[in-house]
Amino acid sequence: MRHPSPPPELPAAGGEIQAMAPASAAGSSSTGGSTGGSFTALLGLPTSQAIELLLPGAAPAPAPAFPSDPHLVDRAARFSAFASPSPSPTPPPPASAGKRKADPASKGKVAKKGKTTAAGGEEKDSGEDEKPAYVHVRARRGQATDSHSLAERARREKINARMELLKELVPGCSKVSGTALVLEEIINHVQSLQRQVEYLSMRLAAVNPRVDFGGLDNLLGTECGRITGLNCKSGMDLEQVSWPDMGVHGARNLAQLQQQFWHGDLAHPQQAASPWEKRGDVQPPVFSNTSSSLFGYDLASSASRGPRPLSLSLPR
Amino acid sequence: MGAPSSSTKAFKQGFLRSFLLSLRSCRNGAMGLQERKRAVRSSADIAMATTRGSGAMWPQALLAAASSSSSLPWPRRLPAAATVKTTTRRKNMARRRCLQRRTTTSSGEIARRLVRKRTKVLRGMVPGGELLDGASLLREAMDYVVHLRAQVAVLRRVSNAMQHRPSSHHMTVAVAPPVPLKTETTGKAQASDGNQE
Repeated sequence: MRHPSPPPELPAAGGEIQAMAPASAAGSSSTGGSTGGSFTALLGLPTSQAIELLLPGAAPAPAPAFPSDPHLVDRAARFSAFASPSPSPTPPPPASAGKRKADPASKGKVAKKGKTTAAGGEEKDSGEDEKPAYVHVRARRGQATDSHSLAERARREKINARMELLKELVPGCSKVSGTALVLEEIINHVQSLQRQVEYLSMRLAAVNPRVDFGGLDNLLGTECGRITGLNCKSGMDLEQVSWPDMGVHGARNLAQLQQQFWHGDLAHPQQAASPWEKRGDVQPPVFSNTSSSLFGYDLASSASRGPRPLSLSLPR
Repeated sequence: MGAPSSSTKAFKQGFLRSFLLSLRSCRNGAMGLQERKRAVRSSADIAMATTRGSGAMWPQALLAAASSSSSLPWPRRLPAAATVKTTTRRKNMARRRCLQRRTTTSSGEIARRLVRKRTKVLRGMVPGGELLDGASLLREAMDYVVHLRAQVAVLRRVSNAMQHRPSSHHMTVAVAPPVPLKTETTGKAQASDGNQE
């Protein structure tokens, strides 16, 4: 988490400004364009950053889990008016625990970026709350301030933020406006992906009976071993590679397979350079959270021992 | 769309491993084409779900759906989404109509209806979506789309590699060049590989 120590809850936001400045400098500068004021954190960020936050790519953790999950939970906690099921070391003050009470006094108490609302609630929600526990949602001018509509508004803004991210994710959605159309595009995209999986599995199934699956060990070997471009001398690498028990069909076969594998990859128009070639990491990927995998053994430690004692039966 | 990130690559590798493992382990000598396809598909799904881990909700649902014996605690309901509707929407609207005298449907209502309908459809498509509420559903959908895309990419590479394999069999497969996303769905029917049978 971003805040190892409980942040102070001073209404004077002097320290908070500095704390928030590096984090939200990018966000606050583009506040003007965002509709939901309290979502500068996510909407104000440039697209790539937002996607990085959500996609499991930004975090330095090698785990294939969803490493930005805490970040997302963090931001989600900020967006929602319902506070703090999230782990917060700070005991929330009784006045602002949970939903935000809509009285001007408490509104004035929380000052984001030095702006106070004591003078009146003119400003929009520009508050990006660095506190993970609860969200101070400031009501806009001319809008209802009772708790229900605040909660409603926060919920709606949360959904809108996620819709924005989904729009970035799904191709061809950026020009579409309106929740229903975007949802339709998303549905079409998911359907097309699922149909592609069906089609590809049909292709694989059709090729299957002729293919000796032992040869696939070479594929695995090329994956786990050093993948240095189209370098085909990994026949000897197979010994050091993590699947020593597998039958090695000969360096030549391996080289051919590897070449074809990667050549098939290069033919892809959408992936110009194979992203796996750039992987300088030699380690087999870390499998986190797969200890309860269906296969009944730990994939992470399979690097050390071979899969021979394993008997997998495909669940029917 | 950004380029695949490092964690996506890690996921792809993990998925590839699990997938190939499960493929190796299944005895596909005695199965018909449909059964084999189903085996491949379910092993791909299971590989994707197990590689994903526990960062999202859909892997559990996927695993539970794929395996006959539900070893996981399933079905379970999220406390946030466990809503029991006492009256249906129709009754509510009829009630409102009786009170309201005007029955013109505004554009907002139409939009809301559309959104509701599509959310329901999305719920059906994302595994485990029935238990989620709107915002979590969107997030799950995002996650699911990302990993589905990775799965498709890996499957495509594997199938291409399999077809390029040097083998003595007469492989009459014309390896289709990777087509863009949208047109692949129509290509599903032309499984020219079926001619090998």
